Amino acid sequence: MSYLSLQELRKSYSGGSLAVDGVSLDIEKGEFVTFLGPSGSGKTSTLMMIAGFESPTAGHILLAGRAIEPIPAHKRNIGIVFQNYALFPHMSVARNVGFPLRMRRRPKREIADRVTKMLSVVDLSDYADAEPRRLSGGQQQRVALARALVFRPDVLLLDEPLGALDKNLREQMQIEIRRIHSELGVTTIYVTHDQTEAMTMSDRIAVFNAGKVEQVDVPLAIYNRPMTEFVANFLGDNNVFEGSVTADGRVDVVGLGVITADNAISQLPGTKAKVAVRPESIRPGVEGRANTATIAVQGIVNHGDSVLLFAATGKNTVKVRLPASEAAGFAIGQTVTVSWQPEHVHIIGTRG
Amino acid sequence: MKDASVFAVPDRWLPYALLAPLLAFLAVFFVVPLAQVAWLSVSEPAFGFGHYGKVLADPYYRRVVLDTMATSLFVTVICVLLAYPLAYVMAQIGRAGSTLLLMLVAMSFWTSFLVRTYAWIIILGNRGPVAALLRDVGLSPPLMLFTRFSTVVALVHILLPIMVMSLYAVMRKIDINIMKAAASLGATPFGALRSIYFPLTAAGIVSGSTIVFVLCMGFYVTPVLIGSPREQMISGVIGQQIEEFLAFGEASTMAIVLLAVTVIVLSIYHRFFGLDRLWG
Amino acid sequence: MWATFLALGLIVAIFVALPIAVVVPMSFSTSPSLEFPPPAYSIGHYIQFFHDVTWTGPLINSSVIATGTALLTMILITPAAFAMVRHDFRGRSLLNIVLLMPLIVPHIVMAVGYFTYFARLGLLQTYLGVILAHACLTSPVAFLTVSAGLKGFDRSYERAAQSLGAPPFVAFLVVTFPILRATFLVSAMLTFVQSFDETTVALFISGRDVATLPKRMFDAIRLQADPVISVASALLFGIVVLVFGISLIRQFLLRRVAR
Repeated sequence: MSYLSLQELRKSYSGGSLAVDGVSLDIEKGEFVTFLGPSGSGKTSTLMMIAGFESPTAGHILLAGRAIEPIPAHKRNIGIVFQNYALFPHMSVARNVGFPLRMRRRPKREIADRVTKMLSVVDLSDYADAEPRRLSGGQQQRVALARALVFRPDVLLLDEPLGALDKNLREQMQIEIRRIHSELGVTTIYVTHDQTEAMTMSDRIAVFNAGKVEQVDVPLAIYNRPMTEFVANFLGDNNVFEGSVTADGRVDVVGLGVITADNAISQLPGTKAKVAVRPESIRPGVEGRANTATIAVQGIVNHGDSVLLFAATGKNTVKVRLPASEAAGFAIGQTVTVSWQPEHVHIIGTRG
Repeated sequence: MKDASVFAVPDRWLPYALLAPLLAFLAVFFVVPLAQVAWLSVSEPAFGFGHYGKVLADPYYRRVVLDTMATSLFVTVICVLLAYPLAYVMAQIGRAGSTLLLMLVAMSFWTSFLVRTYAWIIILGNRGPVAALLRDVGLSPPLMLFTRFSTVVALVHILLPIMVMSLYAVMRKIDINIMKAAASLGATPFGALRSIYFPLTAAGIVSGSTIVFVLCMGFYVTPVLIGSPREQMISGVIGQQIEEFLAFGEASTMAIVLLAVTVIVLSIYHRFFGLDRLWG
Repeated sequence: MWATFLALGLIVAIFVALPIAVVVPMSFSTSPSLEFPPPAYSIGHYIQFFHDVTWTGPLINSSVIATGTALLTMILITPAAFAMVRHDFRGRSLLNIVLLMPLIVPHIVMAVGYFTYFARLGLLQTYLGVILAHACLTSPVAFLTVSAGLKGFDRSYERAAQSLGAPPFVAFLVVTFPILRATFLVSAMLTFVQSFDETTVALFISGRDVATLPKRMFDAIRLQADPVISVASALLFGIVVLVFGISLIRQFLLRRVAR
């Protein structure tokens, strides 16, 4: 039985809008799961329901087998790190971190001990008496983490915690958070719209769209075997071609021929289907790869470490990503033969 | 987002429970006195709408009402004309300048109108600076106090900060680049002002004017202290009827008439703009 | 073009600010009449003011009434502001207008009402009566101030406190209230000043027993041109300057402390 179980969660607001539309998810103890999706996709609403600040319109949330929806937020023993950290400005760092322990009426000595330990875990031992507003964004973030973890919560929720930090700091904090996670082993749910973050940090990713979870899987599977067009396009650049199913479970795309994928689907021949191919999987030349196509280069975009070629065939735009070292010699108007392996093609379900 | 209860009270009832004290208080100490006024206007000294008939028919009362409206309109217009340049300067000048000017305006706004009225009694008085100045130039100073003139001057001074702040609030939000764009497209400074800037500030003019007009109509203290006892405004008449004549019926009637005009003006504003605009 | 506006604007600014400045020098005048500029300066009028119980009495009355009004108003409007800002319920937009009605009704109209109504309740010429009336009249502005502060308040502080184990009311006391303290203070101060300055209603219901300072001033101005009135005016003006000065200094200090 899973540790945290979301069952058919639904949330609608008084205006009639449906923010969460039947979300079901099972999370194991100690897992690091990311809710990934654009704004308005329902990921934050779902998080708020787990935290207890919103009550589900329908559905259940089970923690270690117990339904927690009726339990008020302050009794749920769930730690939350908010996007703006929400550090109490009128308390020092130490008093902030000690707050949950004071709420639980722990003896003073124990509080002092645990606060000190926690501050050293997040590497802020020197700042115990500092005021939150004097700390940098990254430091405040770590205080928020310390505060949310000091009382050993059953679950840790992070609501887009790194949004306000610059790129370098963000990457640093990502490593920090993962390190703390492995060290403490706490079940963690991380909400973000940044797919790179999701890819690098998560054990599993749940991709949210319009109130539903479109796919839950390990990052690599989500990347290479997207189940819907939305998932295919949301993570990284992708080519999505529409075609019709052939008799042998492949897909015939106008302008590109019959494409062999890593999965075959059993639909009636002629049904519309979509295939996804990552631009970096398409290579110039043939070299024994099963899927080939001849395309005319229409645009070249230089990304520094890679180059993106745009070509059009029929209704489809083909994007090919080449490392910079191989990009010389391609020009607009040139006709190029490219190919890719079946294992890099995935047929997306006819839904979506 | 709806929030979890602040207290252990069912979510649905909580807002009503929180509002109950204030609403109950207002019901007893605001609505009831008002209702009392309405009641008195038709019940004192005898039951009937006689007082209303008098107000509509009697030339004295008619003149008072019309005079009050005319004066209020006049004050409003002058306020607009004077406030516009000041608000404009405040909106365009740098941070330090606008803060200073805002402070000045705010301090005037928060000074009791009794104090401000008194200041004008000193200034326009026979031994005040204006009279002294006129004498220095060889003119014999006219009677400035206790006239319609002094009422207007004092009311303008008192209500000007409101108009300034109303205009400033709107002007602040106008992107100065609009004017530069207009200039680059060939508009003269005056032309740009007239056809682009002015229309954008229209909302501020309307809301400021509405507030000033309504306040002016109901003003008691200033016209009574500094105005002509022969040319009273509605509020002065009401006060006189209570204090001197103990004529509660007449006083209440005039009060209801004043209230009616106020409500009508505000309703018209609400119809077109929405009252929530007035207090943002 | 700008020059014209600047000149006009500054002239108006002078018109707005200067007249009030007349009041302070006037209070230090030696002349018993309303002569301005004053022939000479002394604190004679101030001594006269503070020795005259017909002036110090009203000063005390106004202080008592304003304090009582501030307390009563804050207690009434604070939960109401929370209800209106944080909850969505039927009738909310209508209530928004209803709560602000005391702002709309001219004070003279309320004065007539209070005069007759309080006469029946025996509240005329009592502290309680004036406090009750003033609480009504000042509630809209206090409500608007606290509402504005609440709207700008980041809910995540409260949520963080709750997630850390604080029951909702504790979260309010320990987190919300301290952070919003400034808003409550400003609202209370505004209410105090409004009540202190309120003239029209006080004229009719404070009577001789609890005459407020504005009432005393009004009567004095009406009856005779007594320069001691300038002292009262200067005091009233002084309160405003004081309040503004304090808030300015506070802002300045806060900016310094925050590096």
